[in-house]
Amino acid sequence: MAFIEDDETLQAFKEESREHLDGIESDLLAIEEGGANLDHELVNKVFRAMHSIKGGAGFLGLEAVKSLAHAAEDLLNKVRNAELVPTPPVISSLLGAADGLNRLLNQPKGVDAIDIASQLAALHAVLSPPAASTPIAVSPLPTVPPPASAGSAIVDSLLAGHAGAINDARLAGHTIFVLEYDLIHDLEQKGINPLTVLHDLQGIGQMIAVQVDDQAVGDLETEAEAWRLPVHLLYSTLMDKDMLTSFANLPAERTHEIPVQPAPAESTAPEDLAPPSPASPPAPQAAPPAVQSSPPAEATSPAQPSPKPAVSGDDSKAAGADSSIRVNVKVLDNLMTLAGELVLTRNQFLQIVHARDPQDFDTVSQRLDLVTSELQEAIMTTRMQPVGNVFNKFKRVVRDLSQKLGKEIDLILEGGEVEMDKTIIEALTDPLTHLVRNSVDHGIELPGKRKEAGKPLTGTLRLTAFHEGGQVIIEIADDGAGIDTVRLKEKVLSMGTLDKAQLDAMQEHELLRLIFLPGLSTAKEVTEVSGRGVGMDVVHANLSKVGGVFDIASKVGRGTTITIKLPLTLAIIPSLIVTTSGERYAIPQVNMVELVRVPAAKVKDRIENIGSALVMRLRGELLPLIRLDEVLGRSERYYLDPREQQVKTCRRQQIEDRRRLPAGEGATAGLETQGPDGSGARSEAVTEKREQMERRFSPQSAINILVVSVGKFHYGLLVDKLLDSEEIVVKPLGSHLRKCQIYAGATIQGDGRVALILDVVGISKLMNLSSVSDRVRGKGQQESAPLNTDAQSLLIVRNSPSEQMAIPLNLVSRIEKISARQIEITGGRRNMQYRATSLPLFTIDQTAAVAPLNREATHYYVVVFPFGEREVGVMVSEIIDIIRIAVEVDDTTHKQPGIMGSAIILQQITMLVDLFGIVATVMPEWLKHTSLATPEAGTRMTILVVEDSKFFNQQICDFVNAAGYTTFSAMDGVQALGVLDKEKIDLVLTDIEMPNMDGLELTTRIRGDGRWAFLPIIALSSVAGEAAEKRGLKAGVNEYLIKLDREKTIQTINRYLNR
Amino acid sequence: MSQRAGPTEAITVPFGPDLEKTREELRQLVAAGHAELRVDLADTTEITPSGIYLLLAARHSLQAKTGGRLLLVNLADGPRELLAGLHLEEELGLSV
Repeated sequence: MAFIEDDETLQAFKEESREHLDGIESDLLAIEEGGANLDHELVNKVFRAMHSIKGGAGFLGLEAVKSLAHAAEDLLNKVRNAELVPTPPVISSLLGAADGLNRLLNQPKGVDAIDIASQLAALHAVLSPPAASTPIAVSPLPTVPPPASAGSAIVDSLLAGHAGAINDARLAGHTIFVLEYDLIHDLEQKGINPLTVLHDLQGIGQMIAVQVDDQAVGDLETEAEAWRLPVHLLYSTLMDKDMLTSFANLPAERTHEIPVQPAPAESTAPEDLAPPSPASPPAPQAAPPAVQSSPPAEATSPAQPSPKPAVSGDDSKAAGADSSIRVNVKVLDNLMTLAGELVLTRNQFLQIVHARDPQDFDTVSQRLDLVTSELQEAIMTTRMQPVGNVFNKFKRVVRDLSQKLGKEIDLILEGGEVEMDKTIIEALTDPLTHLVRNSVDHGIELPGKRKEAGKPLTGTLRLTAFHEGGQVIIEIADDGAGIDTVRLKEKVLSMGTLDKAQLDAMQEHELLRLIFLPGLSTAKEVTEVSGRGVGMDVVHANLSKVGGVFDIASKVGRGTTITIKLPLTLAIIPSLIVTTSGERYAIPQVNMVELVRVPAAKVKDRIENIGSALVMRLRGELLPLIRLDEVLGRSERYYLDPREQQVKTCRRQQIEDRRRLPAGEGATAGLETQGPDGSGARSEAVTEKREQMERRFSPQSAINILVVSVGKFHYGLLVDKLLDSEEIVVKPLGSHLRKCQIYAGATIQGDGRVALILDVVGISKLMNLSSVSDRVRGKGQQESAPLNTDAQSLLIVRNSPSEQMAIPLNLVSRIEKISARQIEITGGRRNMQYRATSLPLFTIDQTAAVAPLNREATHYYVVVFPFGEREVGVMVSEIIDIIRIAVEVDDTTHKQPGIMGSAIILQQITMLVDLFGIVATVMPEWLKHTSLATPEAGTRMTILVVEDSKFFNQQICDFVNAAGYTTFSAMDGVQALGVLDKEKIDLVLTDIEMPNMDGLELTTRIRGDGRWAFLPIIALSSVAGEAAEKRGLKAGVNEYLIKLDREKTIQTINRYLNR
Repeated sequence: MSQRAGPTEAITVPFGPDLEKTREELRQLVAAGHAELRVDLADTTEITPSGIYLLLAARHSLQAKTGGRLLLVNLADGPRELLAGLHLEEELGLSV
């Protein structure tokens, strides 16, 4: 009957029918909701849609489509005439028919290539049951229906759900079967173990899918005689049907071969269908998209093919429903007008060029600009689709799933009219479906549980779309159980992806984001049903691809809200153009929060170095900073010299120059010339004479920071210059650049230059950024801070309220509070009488650029410690606290004589005082005059200190030196072996945990070498405990001591070296 | 999942080997309005299709009566393998 082979007509019919079907689904659900209170208009609408599909299919000779639509139409007619109440089973059969039609229409080749027997059977079962005309509510649990019809819906869903696997199996030469077992009658009662059958089948073929027919199972009232457990196996094998039947212990009538071609072997379409006849063509009506080409038409409109309604995609044969789009005729007209304008403008241009008349050039340029913008806008509108197109699909998803799970759920859809680019809408469908399913499946609790929790029995799932700041925000909010972050943490911990310290340092919203971790899928412990977070990583990845940014908020017992921010369109995006190291980059405005310009003179106040990371204080929050040139791996940095107006290479390592302004602060003015061993950062400028116009204070040295957001997390990106904001056209990157996670694409600018588009999410991942607030939250949290540093006790002191310092407590012998009157000045040096001797006193500001001691004070604190054979004291104004914490020491930024480095302690940058260094700098001759420190070649004993932390290494060397030994230091076992090879070492002090070669292995190596078999080895570790000590002793260490227990260490060394 | 149990909340029922007896026990518990039934399969090394039927039927009754749920606890390898083979692990809530 297919007398029309016209591909275009067929395509038009398919597209139109799909639109009908899209509408039908939500209408049917509304009809179901209404129940006996029939909305006649709605039923008529669905009826007309089915009628149109039937008519068009008949016209085009599409038999399967026609017969299915026909049966559905019959059923709807009964509903319309109040002969049948639209109960859930009735609606389910109609929905099934709509699904079947959809699948038929999406077939790339002939549209009859799918078996629709099951849908037809379902419709007929509802149409002509014994008591079909009595409007009764059908029980949701049908009593033992005959195998064939009960199974057909399952067969259909099995086939539809595994089309890919079926295809693959066919390609491998397999035949596809559906095996229909009743496990109780076919196997159990015959004494056959079902597992054996499953294993046997798997041995000679492939089990594509297994489906137990749950609907055929009754309840606890069902007597054992009526028990049936039907199972459908979708199975592929090289065997033919006869062989399989005997092998599978199954009667032939329940071994269904699934044919490749339309004509189904087992079940053909019922004969009661009208013969194909030319009927009315498809008529567009009530299409859901906002743009619609023609008004609704009655199904019985004149027989003439409707005009091709769509702006066709490049492949009109493509099967998918999304290769074309409906466009309002008005929009098309507008496009046509604009195209005409463009032609006119081109003609004007040609005239100008021909006449070489520059005067008109401006006018035509403006005109071109205008026409292009309008054209762009008009074309964008053709791509815009309402989010409702996706939202409406969820009515069905939620209905089916909640029925299956026995939950009651109210789905509320808001903002369906919000429009977005077609590409984004398409990319959104699957991830949103996943999120909705997750909310229904795992978020909203069963009615019983909700009742216990004092919540309404019916859960609410709310999908909202709205515009905000040039973006579309989509929220999926449920009032379910919420995400239990405690359990989530346990799960992540057990997966080993993150350690406890990392998890403890996370804020609530960061913890919630853990559900996007790959592999968090089979989290039965989290949800007890089935993996919450199945494929959440994939959802995240897919949405991120179209520029979606996630946020999750969840309260246990209250519900979860997932917010997705999406750009309106992907093709053209507003961006800010910046330059760094002379190259231009574009940053999408969507990612930007604000721009901050820090004037040169303020840099030291606002930008700080924590550990090895730069941070800025911004309205009380600490914002991590990233230098874009560092991300890009540009080692050369440049700056404009304000005096010479020349671009020069920048050698500055630290952006936050801590030095003070040259004028005004007398106390510090002289400091900058001190410190002959100043670090690289200092030495650059120290010898230079300061001028007001120098680089540090020039306006051109201001720092530009783009504050960008990754979800709720913000960070600052340091760039050289900010140029313009532009609308850029996004070009995808070539395949060779795809793996660069810091770029999102490229764009071509007006001058023809290419600018790469930065991906702020990728950059934060590459730089391992995390929120700084966690790192400086306070004392409590700090103790669980980085594990790779060692905890130690620190004496926190101050000379001025604004400047905090810390002294390692284990170097201190005593702390004395003294009155200012006790201080005596002899020979220009401070001393005090102390335990019948004279105690030399020092201050930290004697060697380091720190706030001086408060000279007006009546009392001071003296920190007494041994230096060689004598005791000395360092005075401070205030003792704040003694704390035991693990700190990450920055040993470059503030390092200077008397200061060994800095760390963040109690939320403040704190300088670590080098007691030994102060005395050694002020009184270098004491080093020579102490008998211990007068090394006569060959007599002074030598100790090798092996320790990977620079800070501890320095500390240990200092106190060992002070005790009169010469030290060599090594950062790990490998270096230590190198030193041992070259130098004569009398004793080894070694840490245990070290990179490359740890202390235990080092000990084993030393003991294994005849030269050092009797060398005393003392292990110093922060890991206490018998087990650790045993391991150390087993490896061959002589003593196992706790790190920085100064006295004991020196005593032990003395003992081994017989002193 | 913690092992909390209250009179009207979660209750644990041993499973089999007499299915008729188990059915009766389950029936009474459902009728008593328990919201969560934990079926303890500790003594079940192998489960028959009838056993699976009983679990599914109990779930149906439970959902119809209280909207509650059924959990299987102490599932041994044998039953677990068959439930997995029939793709029923997700249908029937498993609690390890």
